[in-house]
Amino acid sequence: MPPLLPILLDILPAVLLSAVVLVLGNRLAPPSRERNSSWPSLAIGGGYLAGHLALRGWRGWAPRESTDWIAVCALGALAIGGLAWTRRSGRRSAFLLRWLVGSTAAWAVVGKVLLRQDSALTAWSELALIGLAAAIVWSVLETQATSAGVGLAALLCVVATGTSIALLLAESALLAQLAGGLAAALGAAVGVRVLFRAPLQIRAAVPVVVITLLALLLAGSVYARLPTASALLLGAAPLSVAVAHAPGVGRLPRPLRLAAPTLFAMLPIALALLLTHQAVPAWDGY
Amino acid sequence: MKISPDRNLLFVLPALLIGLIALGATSAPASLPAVPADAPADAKTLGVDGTHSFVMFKVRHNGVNDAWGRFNQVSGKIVLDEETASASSVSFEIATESVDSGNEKRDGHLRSPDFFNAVEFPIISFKSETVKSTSEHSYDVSGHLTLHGETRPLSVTVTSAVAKGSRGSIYGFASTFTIKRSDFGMDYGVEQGILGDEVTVILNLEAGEQ
Repeated sequence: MPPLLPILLDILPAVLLSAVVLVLGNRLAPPSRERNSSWPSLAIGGGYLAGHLALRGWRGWAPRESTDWIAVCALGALAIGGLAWTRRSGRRSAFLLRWLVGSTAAWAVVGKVLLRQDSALTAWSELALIGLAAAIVWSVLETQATSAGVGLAALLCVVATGTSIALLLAESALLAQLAGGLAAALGAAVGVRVLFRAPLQIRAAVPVVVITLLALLLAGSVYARLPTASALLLGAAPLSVAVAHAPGVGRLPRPLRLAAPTLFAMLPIALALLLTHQAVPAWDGY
Repeated sequence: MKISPDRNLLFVLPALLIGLIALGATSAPASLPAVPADAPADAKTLGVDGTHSFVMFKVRHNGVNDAWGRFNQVSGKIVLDEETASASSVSFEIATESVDSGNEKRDGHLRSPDFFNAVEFPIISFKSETVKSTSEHSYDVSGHLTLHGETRPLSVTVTSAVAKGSRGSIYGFASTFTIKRSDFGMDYGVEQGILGDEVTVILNLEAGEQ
């Protein structure tokens, strides 16, 4: 189990960078243009990368192992979100771009192992299917991001926290800390919204959150002991953002309405944690 | 793109199901590849006896104690030319997955990306480049060690012994050496002082004529 200090060393840079960039972004960008702001991508993606670098250090180029590729995936997705490529494209081309990006990220993190263990056709099919699942989650989140705002940030923060705990249970403290960095960057965004009453529209950050989460879950399930079912439950948990549109939810008081997707997401997260806990030997204080 | 929650499920569930199948296909265990054989004419080609060979290691834990472990799967080939030591060579491979520290939970952690990353880097290997005889049963062996995907030069002193067995001569080769795991990109816990950087490896290979 990792001691407290290394965890803080990972989380603090993520929190600080995310919060500073968001506050700065809110000052520099007129509120009327907030909806199309790219600052959240830089804040949350940059926050994750700051945590990653604090934990792993600069390991040179090119990346030499799967864990290094997670940072590269986050950087690429940060750029995609920041440049608003998928938001400026047509519906079909945006989906294809998401699919391509998801598949490429999957290839970067687990492609080497899949291509070693399976035939090329099977491996590439698997990567394409993983990319397709990522593109679907990404598309749903981008669609819902405009209306969900801070609620989506809170939901994704809870999912990233659940992923971090699941990865710790799956015996990789390193991957858990990396997921903790993502959760911290998202949590800082929520904190800035609450403390400064600043507008928060995290649509631009959806690519970096989805792709980083995908990379972490793939690494956890292939290289650590995260059960596939747990990875799928955690990967699908962000889709609970759609609960906001369920019958009756619209009539709930505003705080409860905002919290409904996050509360609903806790079901798959709890199940994922339970499955992971059951799949690995119990902690014995080694 | 406006998608209703119901339609989301129609899209997502089949994709998740397919993803499950795709991920499930990644859990095949790694196996040790065969070591190539091309021995000089006068040399003996010895096969490493995995059952009677031991690869142990120890690393400082919390700065106060040595944590010990071993690898349970080792294979390899030794080309031994007793007349001309420089014509000899050694190569061996260790299945990373077989790491055994006597604690299942800790073994899982050791196999994870925090340490050996056993799925991504299933083999630890050594291949000699030069062998020099320093005395009757002692050799200086230099070569390259590949660990955690990094290949670094390694020079070790090896002592040998030979005895007659029921199926011909049996050879023993022993070496103790120290490596820095951070040289191989395996630095988790070093800065925090949880686990030391220097790892002492104790290698005992038993080999017989093939």
